[in-house]
Amino acid sequence: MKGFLAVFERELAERRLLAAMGLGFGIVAVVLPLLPGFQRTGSTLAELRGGLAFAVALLLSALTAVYLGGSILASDLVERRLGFYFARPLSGWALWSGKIAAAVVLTFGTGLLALLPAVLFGGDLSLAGYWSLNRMGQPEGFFNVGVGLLFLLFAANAVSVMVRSRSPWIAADMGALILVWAVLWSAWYRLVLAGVVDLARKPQGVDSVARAWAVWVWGPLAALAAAGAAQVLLGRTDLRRAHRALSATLWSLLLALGIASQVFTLWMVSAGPGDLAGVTQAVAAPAGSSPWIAITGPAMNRSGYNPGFLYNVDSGRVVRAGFGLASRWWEAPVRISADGRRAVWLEYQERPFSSPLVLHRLDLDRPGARPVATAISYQGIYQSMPKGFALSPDGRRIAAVRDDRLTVDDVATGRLLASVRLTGDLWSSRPAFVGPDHIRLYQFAARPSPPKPPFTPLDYDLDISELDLATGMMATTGRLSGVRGFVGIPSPNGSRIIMRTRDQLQLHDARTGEPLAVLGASKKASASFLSGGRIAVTNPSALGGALELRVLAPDGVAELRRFRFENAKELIPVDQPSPGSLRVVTSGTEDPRSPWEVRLLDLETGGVQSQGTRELAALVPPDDDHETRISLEGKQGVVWTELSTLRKRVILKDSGTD
Amino acid sequence: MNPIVLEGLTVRYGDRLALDNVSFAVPEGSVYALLGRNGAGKSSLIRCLLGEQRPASGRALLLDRNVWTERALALEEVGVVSEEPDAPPAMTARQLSRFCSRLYRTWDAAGLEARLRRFGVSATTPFGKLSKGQKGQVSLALALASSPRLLVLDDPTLGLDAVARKAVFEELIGELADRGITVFITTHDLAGVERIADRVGVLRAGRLVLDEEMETLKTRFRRVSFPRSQAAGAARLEALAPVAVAARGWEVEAVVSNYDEESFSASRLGGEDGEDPEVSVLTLEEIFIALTGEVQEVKA
Repeated sequence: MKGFLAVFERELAERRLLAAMGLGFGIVAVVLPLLPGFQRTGSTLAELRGGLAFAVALLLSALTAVYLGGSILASDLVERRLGFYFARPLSGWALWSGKIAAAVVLTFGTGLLALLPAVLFGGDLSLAGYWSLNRMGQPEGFFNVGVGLLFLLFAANAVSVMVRSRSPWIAADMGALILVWAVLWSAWYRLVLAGVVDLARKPQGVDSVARAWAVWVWGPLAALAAAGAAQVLLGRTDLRRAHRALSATLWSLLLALGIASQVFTLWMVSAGPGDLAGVTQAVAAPAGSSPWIAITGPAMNRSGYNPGFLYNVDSGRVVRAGFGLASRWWEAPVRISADGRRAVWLEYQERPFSSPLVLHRLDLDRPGARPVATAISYQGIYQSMPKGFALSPDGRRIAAVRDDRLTVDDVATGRLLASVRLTGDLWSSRPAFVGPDHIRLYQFAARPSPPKPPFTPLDYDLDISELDLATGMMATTGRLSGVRGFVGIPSPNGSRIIMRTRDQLQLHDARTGEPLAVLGASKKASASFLSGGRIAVTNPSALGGALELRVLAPDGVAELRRFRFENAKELIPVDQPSPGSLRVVTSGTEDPRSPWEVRLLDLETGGVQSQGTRELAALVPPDDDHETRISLEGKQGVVWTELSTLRKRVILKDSGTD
Repeated sequence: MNPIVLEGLTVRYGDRLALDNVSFAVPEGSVYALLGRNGAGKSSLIRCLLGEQRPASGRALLLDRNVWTERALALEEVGVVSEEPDAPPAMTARQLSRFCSRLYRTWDAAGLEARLRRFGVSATTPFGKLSKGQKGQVSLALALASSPRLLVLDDPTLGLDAVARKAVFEELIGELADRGITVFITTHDLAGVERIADRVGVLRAGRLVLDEEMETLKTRFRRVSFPRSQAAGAARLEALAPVAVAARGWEVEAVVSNYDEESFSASRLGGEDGEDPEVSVLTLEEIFIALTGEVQEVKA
């Protein structure tokens, strides 16, 4: 310690003029705004003094860091004066730490002394008058500046030793720099491509990427500091040996950091479905025609990483699909064709949120098939992103609404089949195929209404139009008012649609929007279409303590059958093993993780057959603290709320085999 | 305990061998002079000895401590004067004294100032503004101020004029007389060191070719001169272990390294032609030149 203090104090004493210089420039920064020319800038005197003092302090500290970093050790080495210290009972640590500590104190001290006159004479150091520098005036800004100055100091030492040694090792340094940069950058950029970097900027807490950033920022800083120490401890008084010790330490540490970064990145992007903390979006094929589902959500302990997967609940096969990022902005950008044979999704071509969105496809019926990028792409920036898209029932065509057009493309070839200019409000649009050659477009527009309390759901007007691919003609076919939200469940043949209004569940003509029937009055009612056009409506029993399932005729008026489930709090239609039967699952609790009872309903006789209980993987939205983890392995099916329709949906592993 | 012990010290610079398995010890209380021509490896040895350089193999012990791994501890009782005065140029001798005083257990600041006064060096002049001789004197004063058990002097008189050289050696002699410290010195001032050295080591091309008491050395080395007409007797020199033989006009001059009266008589160099060969004592410088210079062979 005595050696450290001796060196530290000696260095401070020898370079005390730097502190005086800081104070002198600080006084200039306070006086300068009094000159006439400075009055015309539009800032107050306090802001000018603060801004100028900050700029002077920053510049002086940066210059001091570079000067001291480049000289405090390197000059002694070059001028062969380090032997003086090494001929004394002074450890290498004391010598290195004493000199570096003095350099750090002088670097920060020079800047702080430059700020002192502004503080004393009423300078505004919050930098409030400089909008782009606001954060610089905050503790976080000062901290970042401090880290940057330390980096300059240590980097200047390394560069100075490397250059001034005039050793052939400088060539190796250049090669190592390129190698290390490539390793670090590729690890970083892979996280950028995965959206982690952009999405992990959370204001609170330390998340995984914050930890990674700490490694990336502090790692090189620590490597530079350690290399400087090795330069003194191992290289001692000889410049070239010092250079070798510095370079060997620096590059080996940075390479280790690069490898660690690569490992971290690999771990980050290797998250599987079981690593999801929850599911924010899930999509299945219409009418349960395929065991494949598409899910996305935040990965556990990997903040900012939202992987997307296509998951086969029968086989457990998982295909990674990069739609998780695009799903940040709107409903899940993945579709599974009605025949269950193809899935398509949007994936950013390169950097998320700025590069085009490319349509990818996966042929689900081909074992071992891999995702393929199609020739179809859309602008990725928010305003130009597709506002809705639909896959034809056979999976061969894709319709999308983007900018002011409805386009239809051939998935296999990327050939543009139609492009129609749209009018009206395109804030939200939902195209749907009505047969292979007809696309129906639902355009939702917020309805002008009196002011409402905050967070009250809006009512929408709905315009319905149809595009005939054969003629390329688009015609308005209907209009509907007072629709709440986006809930719209079309019937399998596309002739009718179930819509939710402020307090009713209604059946409408899908083409004209004409109301056909009221399916339920309760907000808790839900409905889905069955084979033959029948409709299953679930709602709480009027007597309480039970749930009722009513099977209505295709007109939505005539009740064909009614089932009552005592003590059930959840009832979800699953699928129809045959046209005359309907399989449902029920739960006596509201916890989706508790076992579900499977029942087979005979729609002809009204009979109910229990098929035992199942433990279903519950795909639930993640908690705020991300403490839940979903596990799809070994589960007998999955249950989730599909955000695009707000329907609870279930796929069982043995679906279709009963 | 020997204050300095070198064990198989080897230093390489790429393919070049700067020190080749050098081993010796410096006895307590002795003055050891390490001699060698430029490039012989003295500087590498000093660097290893002061813990500035790690040897490729072998080790250097200072006061029983491995100086590479325990340098700071090993140097607590060692005073060092380096070849090039390397103190920070902005510091005065007084400031240097103050700085160094914090590093040693004992520090004789008054003695240092007195020594500087004897040298005629100002204690308040920045080190960078002193002449080379004065810098060396300040360095010596700093080295002695900690009352070291061991003094390591790396060519302390290099570049000094005769007066300054004399002052340095007088100071050393005084210190030796007062405290009997151990001194390890490398120097090209052979005449100066001859007066104080007890033991001499000679490095040649990285190898230690001589490590011996000064007295023994000066006893066994002699110059033998005889007429060329006795050239046949040159072969008889072998018994005296000649290290250098040279023809000078009508005479042959040989430096022998194994002289004693008995062996000299046995060589029968004298007597045949009735003319006795001339035998003279050598200075350390002459011995050094004979050991490290080019050997000339006499053609009959």
